[in-house]
Parts: sequence; structure tokens; C-alpha cells
Amino acid sequence: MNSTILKAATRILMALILIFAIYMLLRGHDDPGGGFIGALITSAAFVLYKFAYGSEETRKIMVLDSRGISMLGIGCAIAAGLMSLFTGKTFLTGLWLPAYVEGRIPLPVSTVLLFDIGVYLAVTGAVLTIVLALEEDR
Amino acid sequence: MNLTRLRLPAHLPVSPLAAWVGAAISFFFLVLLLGFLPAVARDGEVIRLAIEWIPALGIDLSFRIDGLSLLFGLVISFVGLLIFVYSSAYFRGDPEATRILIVLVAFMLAMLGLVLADHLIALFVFWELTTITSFILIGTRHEDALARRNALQAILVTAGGGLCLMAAIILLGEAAGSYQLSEIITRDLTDHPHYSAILTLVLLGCLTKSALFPFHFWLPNAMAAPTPISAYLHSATMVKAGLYLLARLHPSLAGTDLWFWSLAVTGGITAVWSSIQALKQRDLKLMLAYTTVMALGTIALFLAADSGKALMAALVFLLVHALYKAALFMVVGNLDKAAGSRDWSVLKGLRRFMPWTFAAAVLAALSMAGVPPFFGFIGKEILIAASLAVPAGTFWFTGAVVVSAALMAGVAFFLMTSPFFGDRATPPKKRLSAAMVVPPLLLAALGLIAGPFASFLPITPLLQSAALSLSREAPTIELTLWHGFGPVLYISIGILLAGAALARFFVPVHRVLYHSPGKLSLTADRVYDGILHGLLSLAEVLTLVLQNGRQRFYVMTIFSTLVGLIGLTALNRSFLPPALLGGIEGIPLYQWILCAFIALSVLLIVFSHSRMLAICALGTAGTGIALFFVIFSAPDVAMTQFMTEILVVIILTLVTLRLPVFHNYAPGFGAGRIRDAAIAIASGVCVSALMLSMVHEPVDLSVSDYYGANSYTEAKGRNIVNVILVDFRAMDTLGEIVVVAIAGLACHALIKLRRYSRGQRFDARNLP
Repeated sequence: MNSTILKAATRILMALILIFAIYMLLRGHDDPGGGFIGALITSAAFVLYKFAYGSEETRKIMVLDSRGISMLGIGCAIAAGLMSLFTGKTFLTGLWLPAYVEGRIPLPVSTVLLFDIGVYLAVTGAVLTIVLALEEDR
Repeated sequence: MNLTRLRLPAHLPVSPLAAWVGAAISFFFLVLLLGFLPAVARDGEVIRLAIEWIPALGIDLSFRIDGLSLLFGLVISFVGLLIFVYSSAYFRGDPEATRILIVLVAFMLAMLGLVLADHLIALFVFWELTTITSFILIGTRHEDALARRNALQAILVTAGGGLCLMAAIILLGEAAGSYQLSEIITRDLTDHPHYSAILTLVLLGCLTKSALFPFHFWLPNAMAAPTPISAYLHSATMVKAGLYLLARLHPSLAGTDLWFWSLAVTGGITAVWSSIQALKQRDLKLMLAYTTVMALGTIALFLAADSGKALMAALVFLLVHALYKAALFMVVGNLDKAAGSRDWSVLKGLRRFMPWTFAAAVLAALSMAGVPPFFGFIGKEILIAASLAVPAGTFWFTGAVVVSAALMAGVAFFLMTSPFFGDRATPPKKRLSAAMVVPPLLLAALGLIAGPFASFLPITPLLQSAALSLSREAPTIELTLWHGFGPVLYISIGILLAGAALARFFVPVHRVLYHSPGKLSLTADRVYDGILHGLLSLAEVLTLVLQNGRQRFYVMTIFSTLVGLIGLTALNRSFLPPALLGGIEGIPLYQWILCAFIALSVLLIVFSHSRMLAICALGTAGTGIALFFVIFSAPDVAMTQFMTEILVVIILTLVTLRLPVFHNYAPGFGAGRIRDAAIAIASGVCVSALMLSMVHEPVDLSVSDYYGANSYTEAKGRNIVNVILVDFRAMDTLGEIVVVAIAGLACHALIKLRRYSRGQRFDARNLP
């Protein structure tokens, strides 16, 4: 597919979709959203890019191989789980950084967030692995 | 099978350093255990050491050092020391030496753990470790298909027995109320309702491990391993693990007819049958393997009995055997290395070229034959004496001992003469270093020293305290050479004469047996092959039926099963979907429209002639369902559903582009269409009925209430769905994302790496 309109639109849409995906990922703990939904939105963004520019280009902008991304995600999730072991709690206990904005609003930085980012990366990587493999092998 | 290729990096230095490390470790344990000798053997103490391991399950790493475990521990560390010294020369220049020796060290530690462990679970772990290391060591020469096959056979037989043993251990632990051996052996379990199950399972574990009839066939095949391995694992130590456990459990399980006859019959058959087999071999190492099986059978035979005398006989013979057999294996290894063959019909006149190996062979063989004043003589005398004193089955015991001992004496005399005498001298190719000559000589010389000095050395108290671990009846047997004239001495002399005659006419006897019809020795091996072949064929048939590669068949199977299971349950419970159309009037118009939209999409999917249209319609149907989630305020689910629908349409489209056009698609109402429709409609009806009946049941809200109440206070999140995913049930999510990632990888592999091209049949036997 070689459409100038799609290519031009994709550049803008891609940025918007990715910002929305990260917004969904980060707000997930308190409002509808989360790693899984964020991952699906991100995948959709890259799929759009793939239709506009092709798989080669998509792989280039992804920096890391899609399989690597999903492994990285599993790594993040396990690392988030292991952190609690250092404080003597059981595997995967949520830990929260005692950080505050302006001294009173708690900043939600936690191993739970790292775990959710792990979910996000693992799912994104898996979906993109399937889509890209299907596209290339023809 | 690929496990035999389990290898350490190939660039490890080619040096026997690992052998000296192994020797140092075994020397350490030898000294350590010798330190316990005075307390255990003289004062009859039992030493216990315990380290907490898994306190939540009550499993600790506890060790028990009494006479029996000390005897085994000393044999393992002493023979181990000599084997490692021997290996340093034997494996010189072998590129895989380091790998082999590291596994050998691991084996030795596991074996020591096995005999010293006090907790049954720890014992079992060590037991399995010896099985696995033995498997790797038999498969050392993994480029050889036969070695791989034999390694696999050994692990299938012994690990199969290991499974039985695990069941036995659990039953035993529950029956005795404790998993500590120290506790168990104080209980008499022969009256327990599970006694026969426990005994059968223990026997299965021990008979497979110790290569007793009918599982004797794997041991001669295990001779595919290099000679030091065979000498250590498959003669001196690992194959005795089964006997060790039988001896260990003797106080709790022995004393019944079942115990007595099962061991007596198995042991007797094993002893006689394998000594006949030994005569059939041309390979000296195989000959030794069969004599090892004979020794194992003899020891099992005497463990059957309950008297202190018989148990003492079993233990004495165990020690005798460990001393002479390891030495003989090393002698054969020397012949193999120097002269390049293990076939006795080729080896002749080597006495002049290898005087020290010859000396070791003579000393060890004389002990094996039971010639006075060797330790083997004492061993044989006490066997005969004990067999004459057995209350039941005296004829069976004495007969088995006499026949096998006579055949053994013949093999022993033949072993020490045939390769070394004769005129056709075949000069050896290589000179042997001292490290290969001293260990067998030392072991064999010990067999000579232990004879006359049995009462001065700590051997007697050690064996007596070991026998005391088996039965409460203290055996007061003096290990002396001279017992006076009597039937024992006459039988002993008769055995030696018969042995000498057999050695004299060994070649003709061998020829008769070798050409005997049927080659009966292969029977058990063939049964094993048949079972294995049958299993693989069954796997193939199952794979071909269930995994036939037709997606349509899979979907049909899955949904038919679903319908069947739900339908059966419904019939069983005689349930009816309650008030199917109840409350239908309360549904607002816009929801009706949404329903119609979904129904229309579904009709489009089913009757569309274009795949693309069908896929898009699938997407709209899903979107309609997602809208329902929005209406009933489940935004997370709705969002996920929307995104999934988008991706599903894209992925299915990409897949469709790769498929051929609908060529066998029949738009009418053919038989296939009707069948598919029936299954689809039945699944839909079943699931709807199930949902309706679930909605009508009172819902237990305690779980949801818990999450609702605690998600903010404990997990600092207001979105309960997300809190459940990443915090409360994070372990599940972790498992799920691993599955998702693996599914991605699997799709990638399926698409990219097509190993089985079209038309090629899947065959389980072709798998690597």
C-alpha cells in the first residue's frame, strides 16, 4: 500500500495514539485502563504504521525486536516481583515509593506500576511478533 | 535423548585436574567417615546431624551415621578415591574428561547423600540424582547410537522404579507417622493395612535400581560407559543403592512370607541366571557385568532371611564384592587401554608385558573365587553356613549359592589365566602409568590382607554394627578363616574344584552356551524393546488422530466436547433454563436495536461468500458486544474488547491474504454445512442456557466485596479490575503474560520455520 494521505495522517495519528496508550497505561491503577489495554492500543498504532510504511520501516522505529520487547516485559514483571523479596515480603508484594509532590500529594511510583509496564511490554511484543511475522512471510 | 548431550563448554582444558579434585573430595569424606568409625563400630553409637531445609513441610536435611550407612559410605569414598586416581590416567587426552569427571564427582556426592540421609525425601532426591548422573555417564559416548539407547534404557528402568519408590516413600511415611528413617526403623509395619502395597512398591524401586531379575537387563547394557564409570557406578556403588534401601528398611518390613519369598526367588534366579550368562560372554567387561548382577542377586537372596547370620553373610559378601570387583574392572580397563581389546579370544600371553596388572588380576580373582586365605573365602564360607541355617527354603538357598559360586569360581580362574598365559603374545601398544596399576593392585591386596587379619582390622566390628542396624538380634559371628571340618568346608572345597574344572573346559562350555538356540539372554531386553515400541506407536496413533493438522476438526472437537459436557451435566442435574423470557418487557428499545445489529452481523458471517466480508462482520458483532459492556458499566472490559476486535480483524485479514480462495466452500446446505450448523447452534444454546441459569442463582458477593473494600486501603488503587490484575492476583497475571509471550513466539515459529513441509507425515519416532 502506498498512499501519501495515509502516510501523512499516520505521522500525526501515531503520535496521538501512542500518547493515549501511555496515558491509559499510567492511569490504569485508579481509572479504566492499564497495561493490557495500553498494549493493545500501542499495537494498533504500530499496525497502522506498518500499513502505511511497511514492515521494514516499522521494525526500524521499534528499535528493539518485538520478541525482545515481550521478553523485556516479562523481565520487568519478574523484577517487580523480586523487589519485595529484599524487604522480606513474599514474591510480588506491591511496594510504594514514599515520594510526594509538594510534600503532600503522594506520587504513585511503585513496583505495581513496574509490573503493569511489564504486562504492557509483554503483550505489545507478542501481538507485534504475530502481525509482523504474518506480513513478512509471503 | 538429547540430555546425554548435556555438556559443559567444550573448551575446558584437557587435563586430569578434575580427577585430582575428585580424589581430594573423596579423600576428605573417607577421612571424615573414618573419624566416626570408633564411635559407631566399637561403641555402637548412632550419630545424627540435621539442617533445616523446608521447615514448612517438615522436611529437613538430616543425616544418620550408623553401622550400615558407615559401611556403605566408606566403600563409596574409598573406591571413589581409587577410581579418581585411576581416572586421572585413564581419561588422559580425552577431550571430554573434565565433563565426565565433574558428573562423576556429582554422582559420588549424591551416592554419599543417599546412604547417609535420614529423611526419606532427602534420600529420594539423592536416589534420583544418582539415576540422572548415571544416565549422563552411560551416555558419555553419545555419538554412538547404541550408547544413547542403553543410557535411555537405564534411565527408563531406574527412573520408572524411582516413581514406584516415591509412592512407597509417601505410603511408608504416612504409615509410620514420620519420614525420618530413625523413626521408621523402630516401627514394625508388617501388620499395617498398606503393608503389601508398600512392600511391592519398595521392591519395584529396589529391584530396578539394583538390576535384579526381571529388571537385570539394563546393567550389562550400561557397560557402554567408560570402564572407570562401570567399575564405580555399575559395580561398586549405585547398583547397591537398592540393596542398601532393602537393608535399611529390613527392621520395619522384613519377617513376612511376602518379603522372604519375593526376595529369595528374585535373588536366587538372578544369581544363577546371570552366572550362566557370564559364561556366554566374549567381552571381559560384559562378563564382569554379569558377575556383578550375580553378586547383587546373592546379596538380595540373603536379605530375604531374618536371622542375624544371613544378614551378616549378605553384608560380608557386599564388602568382599566391592573389593575384588572394582579391581577386576580396572584390570579389564588396563587390558583395553594397553592391548586395545576386551575380547578374551584375542588377548593372550600378556603376563610378561603387564606384570603388575597380572598381579592385581590374580589377587582379585582368587578372592572372587573364594580361595583361602583371601577375604572372599570368608565371604563364601559364611554364605554357605548361613544358607544351611535358613529355616525355610534351605535347598533353594544352598542350591543358588553353590551353583552360582561354582560358576563364579570358574569365571574367576578363567579371568586370571586366559588373557595372561598362552603362547600367542600380542605385545601391548601402550605402557600404563602407575596411576592405572596401583589402584587395582591396592584394592586386590586389601582382599588378601582382610582375610587373615579380619579379626584384627576394624572390619569385624564395622560389619557387626552394620548387621545390628538391620536386625535387633546381635550377630556374634567371628570372621575367621578356619571353622573346623564340617559340611561348610566340604562344600567350599567342592565349589573350588568345580570352578577349576570349569576354567579348564571354559572354551568348550562357552561355545555350547554361545550357540545355544534362541539366545535367551535377549528375552528381557526384547520385552523392553517391545514395550517401548508399543508406547511410541500409541503416541503416534494418538497424535495422528488428535493432532491431524485440520483446524476445522479441532474446532469441531472442542465445541462438540463442550456441548457434550454441558448437556450431560444438564441431564444429570435435570436442570432447565429458568424463565427464558422472563423480564423481557423491561428491555429498552436501543438495546433491541443493538441486539439486531449483532444478529445481522452473525448472519452476514455465516452466509457471506467473501472471507473479507465475513471477517469484518465478525468485527462488528464483537463491537456490538463491547457496546453492551459500555451500557452495563464495565469500561475496562469494553475497551479491551474494542481493541481486541480491531486487532483480530487485522490479523485475520493478514492470514486470509495467505490462504487460497474458498475452493471447497459449498454455499448451499450440504451435509457438512448442516453438521457445522448443528454444532454451532447447540454450543450457542448450551452457553446461553448456562448463562441464564447462572444469572438466576443467588450470587456470592463476598469476594467482590473484599476487593471493593480493600483495593484502595491495601493496594492504593481505585480501579478494582486493575488492582486485581497487578496486585491481588499478580501471580496469575505473570503466568498469563508469559503464556501470551510464548504464544507470540510460537506463532512466529509456526509461520517462519516450516520444518514439516506439506504432505510429510508427523512421526514421533523421527523426533530428535
